[in-house]
Amino acid sequence: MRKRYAAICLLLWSVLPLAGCWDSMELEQRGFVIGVAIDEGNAPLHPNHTNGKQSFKVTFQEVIPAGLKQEGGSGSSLAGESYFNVTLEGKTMLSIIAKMSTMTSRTPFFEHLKLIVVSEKVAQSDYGFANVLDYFLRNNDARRNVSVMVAKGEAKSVLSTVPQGEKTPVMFIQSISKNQDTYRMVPETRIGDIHEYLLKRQSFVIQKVTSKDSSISLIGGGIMDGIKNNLVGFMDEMETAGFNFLREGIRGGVLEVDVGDNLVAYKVEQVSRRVNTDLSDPSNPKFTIELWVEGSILEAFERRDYLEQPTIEEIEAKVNESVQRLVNETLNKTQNQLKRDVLGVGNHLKERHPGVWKQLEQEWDTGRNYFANSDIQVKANVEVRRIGSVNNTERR
Amino acid sequence: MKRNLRNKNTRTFEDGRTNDEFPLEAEAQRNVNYIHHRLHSPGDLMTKELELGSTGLTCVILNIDGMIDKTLIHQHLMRPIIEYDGPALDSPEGSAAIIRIKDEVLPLEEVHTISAMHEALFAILSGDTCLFMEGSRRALVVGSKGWESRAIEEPQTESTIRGPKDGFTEDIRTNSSLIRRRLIDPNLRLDSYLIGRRSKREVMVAYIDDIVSPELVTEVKRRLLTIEIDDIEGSGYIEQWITDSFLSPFPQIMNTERPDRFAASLLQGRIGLIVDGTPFQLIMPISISDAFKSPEDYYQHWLISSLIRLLRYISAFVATFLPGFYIALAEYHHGMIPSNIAFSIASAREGVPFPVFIEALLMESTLEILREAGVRLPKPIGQTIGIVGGLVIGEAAVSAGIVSPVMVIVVAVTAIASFTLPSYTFGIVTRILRFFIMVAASVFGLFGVILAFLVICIHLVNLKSFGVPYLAPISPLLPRDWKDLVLRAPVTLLRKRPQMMQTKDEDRMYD
Repeated sequence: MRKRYAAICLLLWSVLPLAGCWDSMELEQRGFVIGVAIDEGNAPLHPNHTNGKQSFKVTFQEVIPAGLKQEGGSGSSLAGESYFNVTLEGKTMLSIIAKMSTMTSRTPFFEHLKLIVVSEKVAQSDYGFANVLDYFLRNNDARRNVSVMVAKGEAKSVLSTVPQGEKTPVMFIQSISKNQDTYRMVPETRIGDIHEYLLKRQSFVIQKVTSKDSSISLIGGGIMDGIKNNLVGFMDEMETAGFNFLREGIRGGVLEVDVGDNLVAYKVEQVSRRVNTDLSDPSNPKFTIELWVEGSILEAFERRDYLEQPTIEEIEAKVNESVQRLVNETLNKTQNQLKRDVLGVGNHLKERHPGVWKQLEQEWDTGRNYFANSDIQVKANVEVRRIGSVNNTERR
Repeated sequence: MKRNLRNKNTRTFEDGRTNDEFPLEAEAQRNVNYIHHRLHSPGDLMTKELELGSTGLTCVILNIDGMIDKTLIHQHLMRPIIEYDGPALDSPEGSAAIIRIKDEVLPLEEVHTISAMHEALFAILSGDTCLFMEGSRRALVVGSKGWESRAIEEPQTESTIRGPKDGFTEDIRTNSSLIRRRLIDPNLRLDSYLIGRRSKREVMVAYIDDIVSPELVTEVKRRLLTIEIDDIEGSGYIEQWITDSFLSPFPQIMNTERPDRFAASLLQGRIGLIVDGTPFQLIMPISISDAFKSPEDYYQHWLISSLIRLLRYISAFVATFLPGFYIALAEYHHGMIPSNIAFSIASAREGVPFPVFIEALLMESTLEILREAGVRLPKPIGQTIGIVGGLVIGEAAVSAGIVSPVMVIVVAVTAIASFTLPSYTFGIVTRILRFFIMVAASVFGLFGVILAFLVICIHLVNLKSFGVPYLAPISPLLPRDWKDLVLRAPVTLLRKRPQMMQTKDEDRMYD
């Protein structure tokens, strides 16, 4: 009897190790993929063939943890030792990753993925952009806060730039995109948010990354079509600035204005907006975007008494002018050239005037393109909050 | 109210008697002879024949050297007898004479008469002095206990910064006096019991009559009287005998070296046991919240006390769960670790030959070995352990690549955290549970940690200490007692005694 109890206990106990441990893996056996760059592949494709319409050349950036470690004393660590890139071709992400496991010593692991760079070509192709993101959205490995960027030109070269001050190119790009102090970059675009846009059939702006001679720049942004989800164009530096003003997503940025014969640098600290709609003619809606811009003077070459109200007013007027200029450039780009609503005007209509939106929805920025035909006016109210710690640097 | 346990040993003596329970004989020498024979005439058994003044009446004094207060015997027992110059005491039975000696001759307060042999033997063995008188069938027992005992010292296991520095000693009289000095209350009860089949040890049940719940007293006494053991060596025996569940790793009876803690517990409506021969006295019933309370909490400002208590709760969790949590994260849930930490753990583990679980087991066991060795080692060598353990093993194991530095940090933090609990007994629990959780984590990851946590919780809600739920006041929810749980409310707000003790008198303060 006692033996039988002992046997039963033993059997019950053995259930634990048998049922457990199956997905146990040591941390150092994981190959942490932190960045993925997706380029157009050049595998031959048969037209009308069911076996795929597109092939991709994917570059994975995997960290070498030992290379990341701070060597005591010697601060200079060789950048080449802390990561490596693998480039492979295939038709689906999964097959490419499966291929990769045969080439790297560690199992590719995507839970620490930080960045997906899609090349211009892939992003421009029909449905290519959504297709490449499908794996990263469907598989529960990757987080929904992975940054997605569009590369001007080849995506692979972005992952092979020389990182300055960071250990790997991906970390380098990551920390650049976190700098909020400028309006020349689009705010971080995460895969989770992008998924929302893809489902909502809404046009959106995506971060753009340019690599030139192994240096990186995140200035500008890509405009994605809401229906076909492909890249339709890029915004340049100034257009991005205007875009940031219009989306009130600005946390900092500098406007240089001429006061007298000299320059005064105005630092934008906060922007808030209000959209007023005039729907007297529903098929031709009129929008007035009111912007409240707050900021301070941080650099002034013009010697004036900045404590005087007229001076401040003059600066405010000048800043207002330059905000208007930036915003108009953006409006010109989005409304007249690309005809895609990335400013959120449609969204505003949807939230505040759902009845009207229902009528316009289908052809908002396609077909008849009500967006392009709508009249958008921007009114900026600029305020100087502070003039800095001193009134003047020198007496002239 | 002393209980006399029947001595069940059935050895026979030369005259065929099986035990010592027989009346004393009138002839003093026969009694003395029996005692000598019974104890095999040990060298420390002192016998002295005296004559009562010049009356010619013979008295025999018996006691054991080393256990008695000699001055007292000389000054207040022998001298009055020798120098007796009153009238001759003659009575046929001698009993009246011995009562007169007790009442008129001896200037002592702790004297009583006995009439049976086993009483005489017990008195002599416990350090009292027996006086036999020729012709009397009764004898006198003079309380003369006085032996070398340790002075009152600072408690070794529960040190505080601001609290009183006196601790219990091995002597029950000293200990009871420490309590009496703190609680000058006519309702303080110290009920004595003699426990043990062979060696009888005194155990005092301490409580405050008009505070404590009467059922509790009855229950404690009932359990105490069930003890049937040769000798209770220290309070641990009693604790293990009367505890509710001896299978549980959680102590359901608190032991303390601190009289202030003991006295405060009595005022909260608990019962204390003072056991002869040990500085560790028992307090019951307790709940798990007592593991995180130190007497010092009440001596300091309530803000700092509350914060420190919070710290203790956190460190108890750290001490129990940290290694398991680390194993779970490092073996299963690599995505849950923030990227930078994941990379640095991965780089630290580069080249470590063992899986995380084995590594953790190795280091935790080493820690336990070090701790045990540190306790056993003679004090002067104790420091060596620190150096060998901390520097040599820790440092060398890392540089040899056998364990990763992260593991060393985890183990070190765990070890330090487990020392923050004011009660050593509860500290042991965290050590036991830690290994349990480590195994659970290595088999099922975080899922296993949560399972283990649930198992512990289920066990805890089922556990009771003398009828008081072990998780009180958390479950059952007693909101009034939360004032003295994690938060230690200002003293003026602690108006009531703990609800979980179901005291007769609930108010600590009167309006």
